[in-house]
Amino acid sequence: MKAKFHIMDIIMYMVFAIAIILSLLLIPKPSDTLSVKAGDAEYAFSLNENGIYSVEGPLGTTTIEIRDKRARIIDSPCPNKTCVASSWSKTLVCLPNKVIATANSKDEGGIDATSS
Amino acid sequence: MQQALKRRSSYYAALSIFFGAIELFIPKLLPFFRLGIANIPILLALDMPPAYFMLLVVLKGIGNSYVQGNLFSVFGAISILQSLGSGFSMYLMRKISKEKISLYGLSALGALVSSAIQMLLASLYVGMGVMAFLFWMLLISLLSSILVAFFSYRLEIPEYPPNIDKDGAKKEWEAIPIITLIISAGIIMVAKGWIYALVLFALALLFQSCTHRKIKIVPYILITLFMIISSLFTPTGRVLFRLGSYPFTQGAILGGLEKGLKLSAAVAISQGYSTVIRPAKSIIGDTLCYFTSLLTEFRDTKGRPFLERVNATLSLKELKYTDTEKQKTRYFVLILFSLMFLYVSIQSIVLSQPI
Repeated sequence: MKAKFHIMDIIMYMVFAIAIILSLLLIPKPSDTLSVKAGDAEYAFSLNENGIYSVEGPLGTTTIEIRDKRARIIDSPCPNKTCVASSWSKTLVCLPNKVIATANSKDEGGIDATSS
Repeated sequence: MQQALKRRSSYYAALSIFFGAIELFIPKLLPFFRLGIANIPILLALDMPPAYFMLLVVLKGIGNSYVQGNLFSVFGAISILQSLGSGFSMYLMRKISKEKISLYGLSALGALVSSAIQMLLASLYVGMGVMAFLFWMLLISLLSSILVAFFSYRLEIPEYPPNIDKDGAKKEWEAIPIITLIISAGIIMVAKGWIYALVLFALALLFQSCTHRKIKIVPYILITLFMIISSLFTPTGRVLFRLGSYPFTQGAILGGLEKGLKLSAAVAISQGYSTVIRPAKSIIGDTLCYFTSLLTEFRDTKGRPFLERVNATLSLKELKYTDTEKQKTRYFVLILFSLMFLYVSIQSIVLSQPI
């Protein structure tokens, strides 16, 4: 059997080349991360995966929810719970429990939440 | 006519598994990746009626993963689905474009669809971190698709299968091994925690050893490393160190370790059951009889140049199947191990703590 090239072969290889270039866009980037300082410890969570995570501060456990590339504090041992009330934000702060979280994402996250 | 087409489907599937076995001699870069020379018979069967062609690709997926011992694990599902997806896309393109596309274009399409399906399915288990490998996988697939098309134009595969004497094949399937397999392979995937995953993996290796299937430890190490590396792209938990600005986290490493160990345990269980569940006298059994006979003939040609050996095997007009089953695993061993897998997995779920 002998190979005979056609226009469809060229199209197919062009589609493949485009797919290879586009695949570079799917490589996870370090920017899509929620960086958390809790007391002396440092944590990091991917903003690409939804989930509920716990970090340990001096007062106890602060619980953070990540959903659709956004983050919020859903539970905290601090007395006023202002950080919980502040809901979704690019920067989450709970001063009594010494928790500071920053979303490193290209998406905008809204107004900062603070608690004291 | 129908019988002849069925025989051709099972023979071409056997050839595909035979090429897949030859491919095992070539070192793999990553556990999920295949070079794809097993696709040569698929490319050469695109003239078959659609139902028989799809039967061929399903048989190829099942047979390939059975021979490699992965049929009863997640790799088996990946193998069958990617085989179906790439086969269907090539067949459809061939029908739409008629003679206006060569085997090079069709092979490229099959490789693209196969890579996309493999990555998509892998991401469901591993997470989006696995997409870090997509670029390299596509590059390798493109190169291998060119090689596959190149050899497809040069290899001479007979359209009509050789006769086969398969009196040594088993007559029917047995229920107990199938039930214990479903329990064992299913329950370990829902276990939680890397320590329990380690215990399950150790048990699975013990089971594999009891079934007299040879244990090769390198593939398990590669699977686990692949899972850990893929998980590192999804930071979770306490930061252990940073490479530049990228955080390497404890949760990601332990999560990857857990997934890798569970997957390795599933593969070890599957390897063990491959010696217990033997091909019955069905179309799958026929395919595996053809494959075993081809491989035996290929081994008999040792000492001659590689391509000459392949051509000599393909040109045979008569094949003989001999069942190589020597060891039998007792049912109580299967039941005992499935109960142990069940107990450890349930314990891990009951005692698991949220992160």
